[in-house]
Amino acid sequence: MDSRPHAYLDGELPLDALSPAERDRAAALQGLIDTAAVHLRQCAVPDLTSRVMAALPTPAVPVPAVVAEQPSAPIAAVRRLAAWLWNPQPIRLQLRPVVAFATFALLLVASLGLWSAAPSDPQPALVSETVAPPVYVQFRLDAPDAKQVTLAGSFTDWEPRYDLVQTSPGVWSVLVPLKPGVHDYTFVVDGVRWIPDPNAPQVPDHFGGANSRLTLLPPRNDT
Amino acid sequence: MSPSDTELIQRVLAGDRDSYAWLVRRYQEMLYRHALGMVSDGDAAADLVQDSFIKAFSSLESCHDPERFGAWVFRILRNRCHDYLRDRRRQMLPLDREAMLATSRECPDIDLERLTLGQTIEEALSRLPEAQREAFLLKHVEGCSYEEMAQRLDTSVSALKMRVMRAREALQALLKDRIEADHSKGIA
Repeated sequence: MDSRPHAYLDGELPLDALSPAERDRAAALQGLIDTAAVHLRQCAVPDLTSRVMAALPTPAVPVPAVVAEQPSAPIAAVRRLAAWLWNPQPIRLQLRPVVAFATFALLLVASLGLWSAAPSDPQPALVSETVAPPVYVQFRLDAPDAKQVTLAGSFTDWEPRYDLVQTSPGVWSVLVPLKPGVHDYTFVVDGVRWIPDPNAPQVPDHFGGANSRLTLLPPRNDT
Repeated sequence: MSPSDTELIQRVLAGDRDSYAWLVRRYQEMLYRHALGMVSDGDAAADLVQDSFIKAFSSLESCHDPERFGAWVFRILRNRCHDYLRDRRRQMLPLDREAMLATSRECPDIDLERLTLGQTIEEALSRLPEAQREAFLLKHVEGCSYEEMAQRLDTSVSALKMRVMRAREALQALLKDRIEADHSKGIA
């Protein structure tokens, strides 16, 4: 195997140091590299962010170590009182039977009165809600003249809460976790200009302008 | 300015899980392309990248050099790819070239040619020894220098140059006819 064409491809030899045959060999190898690299770079790369974030393990809550120590005197007293109140205690009662019957009748009448006064409609049952995992959305704006860009939307009560950062000259970007659903938003440039996203559908903002609208489906959990 | 890897890792370790999404976005493309080149299967590559990010998250405290998070998670992915390929070899699943070509024949002419070239490249890559394939991908698809590759793979520069050279020669032998035919048709 002739290593000189490879040395040229690795930038270790100039082209004019190669013989004509070595130049042909280097050109053939370069063609191969270009073809293979172009194909492999062209493959579409899926955005795995939501998928990864949904699959992250929940961190275990650290359990604080139990430290054996003697409680102080007031704490010990409170504990003794709580134990006395909670534990069953013998109680001795002496009653006249007529008083006992009268008390029982009184309690019966009172409980019936309360029963009839109770609302007839049943209380709504508490429904446990399943919290959908957030979807991570990258917002991007091309604003070459901007000094500062922020993001406001229905998910921030229209406060410009998210600062976009300049990832390359004139390109501003921020990554925001959002719940699945419909969100309206707008960019705020230099704190004064509210401009909708030119790459998203727009809806009237009821003030004569427009907001951008984003619809997010829940991330698939096909891990 | 975007937050640095160190800053993001500190935030994640302090309980801000959402900051991890930045790291995923930052490195997923590099990792996916490498995994795809190694295993030649888009679904498997996505699974391997996801597993690697989850493993990295779970052991984030052991990332001793947070500024080199990308190299660290790459190492995790690399081991995942090795495991995957070892398991695949064990299961004796040869690449079904006949089925692949049957699918290609159903496509229109120009697409068939392009599709088949891509598949031929992937198949040729999959026939290289793992170490050569890995070196070729890092050098020519990801554009790493030999010094970067040496750091990532814990291997000497001279050994990597040899692997890349052998990979080029082997690929050229496998793809020569195919690429020349496409060049002569002007569609490569």
